[in-house]
Amino acid sequence: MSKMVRRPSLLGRRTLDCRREAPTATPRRRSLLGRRTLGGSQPIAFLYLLPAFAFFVAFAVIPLGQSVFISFFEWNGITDRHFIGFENYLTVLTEPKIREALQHSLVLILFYAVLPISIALVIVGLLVRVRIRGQAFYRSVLFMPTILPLTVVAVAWRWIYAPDGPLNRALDIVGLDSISRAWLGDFTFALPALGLVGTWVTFGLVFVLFVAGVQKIPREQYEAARIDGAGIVREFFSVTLPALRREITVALILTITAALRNFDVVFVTTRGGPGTTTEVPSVFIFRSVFQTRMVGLGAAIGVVLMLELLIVNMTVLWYRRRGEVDS
Amino acid sequence: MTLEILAEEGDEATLDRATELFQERYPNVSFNITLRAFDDYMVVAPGIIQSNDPPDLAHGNQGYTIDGLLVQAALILPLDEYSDVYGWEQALGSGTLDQYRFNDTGTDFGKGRLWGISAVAEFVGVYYNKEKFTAMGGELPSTFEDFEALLAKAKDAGELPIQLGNAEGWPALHVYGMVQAAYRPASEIRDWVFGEPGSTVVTDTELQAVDTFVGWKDAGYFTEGVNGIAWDDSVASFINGEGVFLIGGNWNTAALEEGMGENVGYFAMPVGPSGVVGGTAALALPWHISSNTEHPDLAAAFIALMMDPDFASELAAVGRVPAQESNVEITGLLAEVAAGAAEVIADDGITLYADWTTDTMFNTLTAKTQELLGGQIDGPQYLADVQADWEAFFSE
Repeated sequence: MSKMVRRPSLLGRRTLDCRREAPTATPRRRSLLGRRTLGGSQPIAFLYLLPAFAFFVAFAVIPLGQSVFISFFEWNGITDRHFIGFENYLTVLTEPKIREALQHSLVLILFYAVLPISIALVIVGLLVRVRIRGQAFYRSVLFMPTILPLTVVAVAWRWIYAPDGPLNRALDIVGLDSISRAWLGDFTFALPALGLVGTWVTFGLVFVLFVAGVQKIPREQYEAARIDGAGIVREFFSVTLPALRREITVALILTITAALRNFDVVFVTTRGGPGTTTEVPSVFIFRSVFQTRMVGLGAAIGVVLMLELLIVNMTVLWYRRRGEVDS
Repeated sequence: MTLEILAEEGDEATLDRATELFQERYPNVSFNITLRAFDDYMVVAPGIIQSNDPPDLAHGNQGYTIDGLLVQAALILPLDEYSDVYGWEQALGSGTLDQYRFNDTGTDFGKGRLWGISAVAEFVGVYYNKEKFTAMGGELPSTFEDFEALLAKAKDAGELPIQLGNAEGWPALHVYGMVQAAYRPASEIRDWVFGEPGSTVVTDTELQAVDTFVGWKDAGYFTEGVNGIAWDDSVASFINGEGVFLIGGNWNTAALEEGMGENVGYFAMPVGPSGVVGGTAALALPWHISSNTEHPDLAAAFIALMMDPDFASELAAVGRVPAQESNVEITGLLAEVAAGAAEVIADDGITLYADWTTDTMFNTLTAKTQELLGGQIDGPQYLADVQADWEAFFSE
């Protein structure tokens, strides 16, 4: 025990700072909210919301409504459109190529969401125990992929995966030349290869979220756990993980959304190839609207993709709410 | 008067020269030119041509997805009268212009009125690395068989026979187009592209072509990992001395000559069992005149300037291959390219671009060709899948 007291983790020290601020900050905020209850007494509050709401309507609600509307027509984008009811939706659900693309987007969720969150949780669990010098530096480096434009990321990874790119060179050097290949041209590995690009991109964001979350955990909880004799694993599952529930929810929603609407990376690297192995819905939408000029079908895929996103994210939220009720 | 022009950026240098010459003749005309890169152009052009303030002149693209759409929406003018006045049909041949024809509703490709025109030829042919070619004791092939022997020879010499990057799917399609033309008569292939009833790729000769093409892959004639290499990267590798041959479009000429100097040569794919020198080839993106223009005759006069045999030297000077015969002195690699094109034209061997055939054919062909090269499907399956796209479109 004494050893631990002498070597408090960096995370632990930060939480002390937070606590010192807390008593002054919290009551003040609460009283403010109390006076400014929304509605009735001060309708002017709505006026402040108006600009943002107008933007939301103009750039989200109206285009969404238009997409839904167009999805019921056969239309080439130029000449007259014909109302065809749910035929486009029938195509989305029955056309094997589109279903394949929707399935690929589910595989990408594994790489964009599940994998980075799992890795980040393990590392955060370790960070609670181990002190690392220059954490701010690592955080910035890890966050870099998140702020890079995805096209830049895609071009860089296209080079990494190239037949004579760094990945294959590295494999050759360590004697694994038997497995080196043109990764993005391989029917088995192209999709996982693109998925790992997503892991690389979203990991930084997820990690920074979790580190921030861990810093809010009162140090006493860890001390209590250790006094009770909890090991690193027990500590992780009893203290760290429950405390990070909110952050995990946010991370899941952000990364799942990124996975499902993935366009840039696929378009810049494989355009859905080889064959149709990396075809994803957003690339299909682009093709339908701008290449084969089936605008209605493109809109229908868009609507289905949006519903898929909503359902998955609602499930995440519902699961979290249920978790809160349980605890 | 101002002519508004919307153009694909490949014609930038051509337009620079053409506008200058036009203004010498008509000083009161000014130009307002907007250029877009190919991919971008094909996405936005129909919308711009349809807008309330359309350009007087704009590029289209052969086939249903662009030209058919523009005709169907009555956004462009037929050019038959101008063709008669300026003699375009005599200059280029009636059959050659079929690729710019549509019926008035834009639903039947290759027949009907003439809606666009270009003076530029875009041919796929064989570039070769002269140094390597000489080192392995190669001689210019006079038959397709000779060419296959050269591929084997290159392989034996420890060289990569054909440099090919097919990440985009279409580069290998161009290679296949050369093999296809070596086996099948060009007229049959054109009929298929134009959707003539009863046309099919499911034939024994076509299967021979596919088997030959797959045989090249199996023999290791193509770059390793062909589906994972971008076309531009493979061109760069060829310039850097990887590969004896590069089968590609003549729009690569300038880049190859700049990178390799006199070390690069060109020939048309020599004659095979089909009996004619043929291959994937067509005229360039057509010029269209907007149906909303206030100066249709002026726009036509400007096109006529670019179509004029006298302008051929200007085209050659900016690296484009003139489609019609002229007395223009062309030098360097472009001379070999032009000679190859002339051979194909003389043999009536133009097979057009297969992806024009239906609105989804580009995606079908690129995906299926990758699957064929990746060993996911065999020859008969490849042809059946491609034909299925054709049947679906033309049965409607």
